[in-house]
Amino acid sequence: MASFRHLILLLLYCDGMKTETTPSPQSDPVITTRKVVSKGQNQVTIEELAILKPQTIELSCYLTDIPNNPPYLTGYWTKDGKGIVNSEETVNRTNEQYILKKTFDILAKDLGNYSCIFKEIQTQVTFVLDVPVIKDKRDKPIVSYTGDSVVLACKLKQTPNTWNWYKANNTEKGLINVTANPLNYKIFIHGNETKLTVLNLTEEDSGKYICSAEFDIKPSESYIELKVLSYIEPLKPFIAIVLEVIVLVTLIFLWEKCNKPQNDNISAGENELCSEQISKLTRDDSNGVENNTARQRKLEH
Amino acid sequence: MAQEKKKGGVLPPDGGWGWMIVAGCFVVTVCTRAVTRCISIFFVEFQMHFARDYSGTAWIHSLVDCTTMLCAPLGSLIGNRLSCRVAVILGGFLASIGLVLSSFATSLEYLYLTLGVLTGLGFALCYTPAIAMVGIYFCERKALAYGIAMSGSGIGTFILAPVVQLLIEHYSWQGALLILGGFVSNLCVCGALLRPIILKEEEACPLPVDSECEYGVKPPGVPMGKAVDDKLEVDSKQRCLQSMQEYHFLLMPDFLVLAGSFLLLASGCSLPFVYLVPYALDVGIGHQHAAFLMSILGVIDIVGNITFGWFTDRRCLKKYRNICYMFAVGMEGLCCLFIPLLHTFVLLVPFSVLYGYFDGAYVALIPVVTSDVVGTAYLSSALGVVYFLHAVPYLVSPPIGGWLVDTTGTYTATFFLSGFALISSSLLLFSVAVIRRCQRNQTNSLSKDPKLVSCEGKEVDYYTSKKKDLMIIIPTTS
Repeated sequence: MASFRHLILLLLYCDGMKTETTPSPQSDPVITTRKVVSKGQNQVTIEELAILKPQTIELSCYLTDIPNNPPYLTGYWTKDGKGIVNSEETVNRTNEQYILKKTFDILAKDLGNYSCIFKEIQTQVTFVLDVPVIKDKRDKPIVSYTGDSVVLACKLKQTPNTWNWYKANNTEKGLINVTANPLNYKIFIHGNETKLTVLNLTEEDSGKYICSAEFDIKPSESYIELKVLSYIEPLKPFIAIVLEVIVLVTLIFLWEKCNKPQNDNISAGENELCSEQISKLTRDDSNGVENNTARQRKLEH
Repeated sequence: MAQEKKKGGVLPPDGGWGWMIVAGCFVVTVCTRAVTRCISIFFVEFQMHFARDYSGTAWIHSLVDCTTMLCAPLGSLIGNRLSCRVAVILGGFLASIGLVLSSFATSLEYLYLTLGVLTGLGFALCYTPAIAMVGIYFCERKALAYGIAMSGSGIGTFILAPVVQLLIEHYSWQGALLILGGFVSNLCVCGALLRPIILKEEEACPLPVDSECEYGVKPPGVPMGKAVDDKLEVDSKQRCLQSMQEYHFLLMPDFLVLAGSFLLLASGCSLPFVYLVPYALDVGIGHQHAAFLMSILGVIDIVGNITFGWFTDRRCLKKYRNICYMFAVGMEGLCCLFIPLLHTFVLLVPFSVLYGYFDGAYVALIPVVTSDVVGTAYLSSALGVVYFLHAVPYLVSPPIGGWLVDTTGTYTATFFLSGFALISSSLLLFSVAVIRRCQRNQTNSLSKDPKLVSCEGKEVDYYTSKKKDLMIIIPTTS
């Protein structure tokens, strides 16, 4: 069996929880190796691995710095929380390390969380095997207006075989075909990113759009929600505020006009009653507020 | 006439409708300064929509700030010629049209024009006249009134930032800009509030000797009651004379020193705001904590505005207002010099508190110090010039700070630059004040009447018949 395998072990050993990817040589079948180092007991380590195509992968858990240095430990593997049959192994101590390895054949249905668990020291290392996840997803819907155009984008670190866009109608997905609707859709694909431009938006274009990165093993999907509003929507608060401004300005000018004839009469020295009103106004306002200014204004003559 | 004998003068109301003016100025500050700061929230949306990077969108903010400050003299000119009310209403109209037009933007350059130039111009027309109006209505409580009015920028940013974020989420940036345009049209309401003040002169009560603020009335050659009709008889020669008179304060040595110190101040004060968060991230503080530092800065800014204004209005501190201003600016500079020593979140929090407090303090005192130097009659034009002087350093110093960071690799040089600029601004004022004091002590020993000394060196605001916002009616009694 060894002749079929080319195990290239890592040469770099960094402390902490780092994995190194091992480049496999060109001969088939290619087995990739992933290793995680865990120090001490009562540790839970999680490692995410991006799987692009069906492959055989060897997962290794290296344990060091175990107190009391027992001569051997028992470890077993689980997939998605359920124990894998016949996976329990006794690991002997070698050079202060305990090494547990297992090889898995990964197809689309085999993607999941694989953990090596050591019962005696409550240590667990979990490998999350999944297609690359599209990050920076907007949790709020993208808002646009009828007649406008909008650009939806998806980006990944790895480059998929191709990208596909779907529009979700309730539970089913409909593939967006640019050749069928060249006036409404444009799709731009450039390696690890893609952009969907929806033109001539209408209210029916609202909904969930799914960008799908096609890998050999399984597509990776992410959705973006689009909301299309008509122009009336923001116009309503705008008109409300403008009306309020007009009303307030008119009120202020009217109030001033009402007081103005009284002011003019004061300077002419005729209407004593109105001047009393105004002086009372200023005095009332001032009384409650100032007690240490020099003087009160007297508007009498 | 009886007035000619005594030192004729009238006091501003210091209350009453004045508080409405303060409220109006508060809303003006909210709509101009806070909206300018909230525009940066739109940048991410602009970058996505127009597919441009950060430097393309950052120009918008610089353009708005720059236009607002550079056109400040224009705002004060219109305020003087027409009236503050007309200036603010016109400005509000322009600003809201600018925002509404930018909601239909098809390219980033279009936004530069509508958002950068048009809205900035509108803001410039509002800002200076509103602040000058507060100075006309208040005297004894001027610092407190200014403190409340200027706190609008801090409180406005605090409230508007999440609101704008919410608007963008619900209506996307086009709808948000439209609604923001509607909100900014409230500037017209503030303009309507800026009623020209009508003061009636008192005949019976003499003025208290230590009152620093009164509007002196020149012995009238023209009956003041007909002041409104006067504008119809204005000669072109008189108008020219008037503009020369309006700006004659530019040649005052006091004002020149103040202008120099403002230039230095503006070079230093914007840097910490821009580079605090990047420095915090650089030192290893998490994103949340860094954002929290900025929030602390903003909130304490508001506190500093109002409390420092109240402090400097107390009788005991009023004579030393200039010194309080220098103290605030100097302390700010000192805080900046200590930043490179602060490496953890726990140490940066007191820095934020102190810096925010003194930043709020000096902002509230700028109009007060300016009016102390030039007098209330020229406050509007002087403020225009003051904010104009702020424009270029505001624009230029953050990129210089960024260049320093890039070349030296640390933020130390940037913060040192900021600290030294602030401290030298304060020292300049301090040294000139000391020189003045020595001069005054010399003239003191020569002067006969000691009572006059306290009033000398203070500009008495002479009423000019062309000042639209200040009418003094002298009753023509027998």
